Amino acid sequence: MMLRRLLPLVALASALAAAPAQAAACCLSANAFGIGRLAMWETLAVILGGSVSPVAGRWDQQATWRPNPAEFAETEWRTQLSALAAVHPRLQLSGRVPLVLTQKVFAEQQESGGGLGDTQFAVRYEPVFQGEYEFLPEVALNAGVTVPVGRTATDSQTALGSDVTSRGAWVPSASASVELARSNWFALLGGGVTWPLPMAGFEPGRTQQLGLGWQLTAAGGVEVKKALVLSLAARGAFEGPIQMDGAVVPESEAFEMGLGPAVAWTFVPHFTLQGGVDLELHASGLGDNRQGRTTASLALRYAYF
Amino acid sequence: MSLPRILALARLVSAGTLLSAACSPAAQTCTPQCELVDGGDPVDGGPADAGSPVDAGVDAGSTVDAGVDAGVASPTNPLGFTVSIVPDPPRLGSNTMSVFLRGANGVPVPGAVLTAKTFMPSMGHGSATPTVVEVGAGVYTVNGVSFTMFGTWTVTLTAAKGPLSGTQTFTYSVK
Repeated sequence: MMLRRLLPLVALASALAAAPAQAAACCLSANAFGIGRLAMWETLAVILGGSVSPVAGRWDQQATWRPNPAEFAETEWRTQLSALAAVHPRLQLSGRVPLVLTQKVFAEQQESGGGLGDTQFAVRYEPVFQGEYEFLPEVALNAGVTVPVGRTATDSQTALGSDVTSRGAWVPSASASVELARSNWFALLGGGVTWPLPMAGFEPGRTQQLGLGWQLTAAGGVEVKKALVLSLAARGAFEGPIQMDGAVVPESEAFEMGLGPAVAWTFVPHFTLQGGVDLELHASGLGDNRQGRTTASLALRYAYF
Repeated sequence: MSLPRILALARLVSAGTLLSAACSPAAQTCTPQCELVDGGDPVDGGPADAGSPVDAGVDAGSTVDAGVDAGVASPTNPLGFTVSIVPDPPRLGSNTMSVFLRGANGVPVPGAVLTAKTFMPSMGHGSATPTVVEVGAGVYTVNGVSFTMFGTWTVTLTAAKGPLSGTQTFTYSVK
């Protein structure tokens, strides 16, 4: 059956849709694209995944790449539990809860810390779902929110900030994506925005607002073997300047981009193993005001249908 | 040496504070003792090369570079700050600041409530709240000044004692 044959492609597309913006807890915790999606015959999916993300350096406020000094090392470990549920043939709800562990070393200072990270909830509406029309791609609209349940930098108890798991802002988001799947290949293109709400500033009586964000993602993949799909995904995210008491903070805009391969293998019905690497190109001009990381992830997806 | 300066030094000695023999106007790091020895003259508003508000046009409450005299206290900002940080330049992780707090006449202000807040403007976040301990008459040590990322940070000091209050922000670059 054609639809069954598309299952691994669908699963991979779901994973890729969730791949962007797995950035550091301190820096960019909101993902405009939600947590992925269900195939049309799936009722529920649960994903348990983990990732490791060593920091290679940073882009400063002038977008100059600065590798970490030899005496500094930082690695983030993340475990995430996600769930998706279909409440209507065109409507899906999803949620994700991360646990973050960060290890930092600087000269003689060593510390590790973490905890619950910001959680995300989203609703996905498909005005055109996969395969509904022969010549039309799937169209999906996402609306979500990031809830700041994690620990902010101001509440940190550590000298190097290894226990920080949140930026502290509620972040509504919206996105739209188009996905085309044919025979043994698929292509996806999406764009979204994030609107961090104002929050208390670092001093009593002050307010600050993180910058408006724009995110783009593009991916494509092919089934190379039965139930085994390889793909390539690229992402870009830009964040506008921070505002403090309504005034723009100079040189506080941020930009990051990444790309990398991914694999999905439905080794038995209902279960898909997903893995991927997100690479950032560590050179001046290819990022701004952000840490530079390489992230490797692995997840197990169970779908009920 | 002027009479006001002699009186200011006498107050420091009577408070048990030793004056450093290594202080000089060319010292890169201002310490409370250096400030008074080298001419923190409350009448003149400070030495010409110390970046006092009178000479440098620095407004009370504005941001100044680390290690520079934050200005003689004025009617609009009755408390003045002189700070140093260890290590200098500061580094990633925990640092320690020494703060000399003085009133409008240059007299040390003991027993003030002094707080410190760190902030990284480009990232929009701070770090763990430092702790403040008074170690001498008008001399305070700020422990746990945490710079958790490389880049530019600010430390805002706020002091209050009775009707007097003051605030000053210092900028540091962590490389």
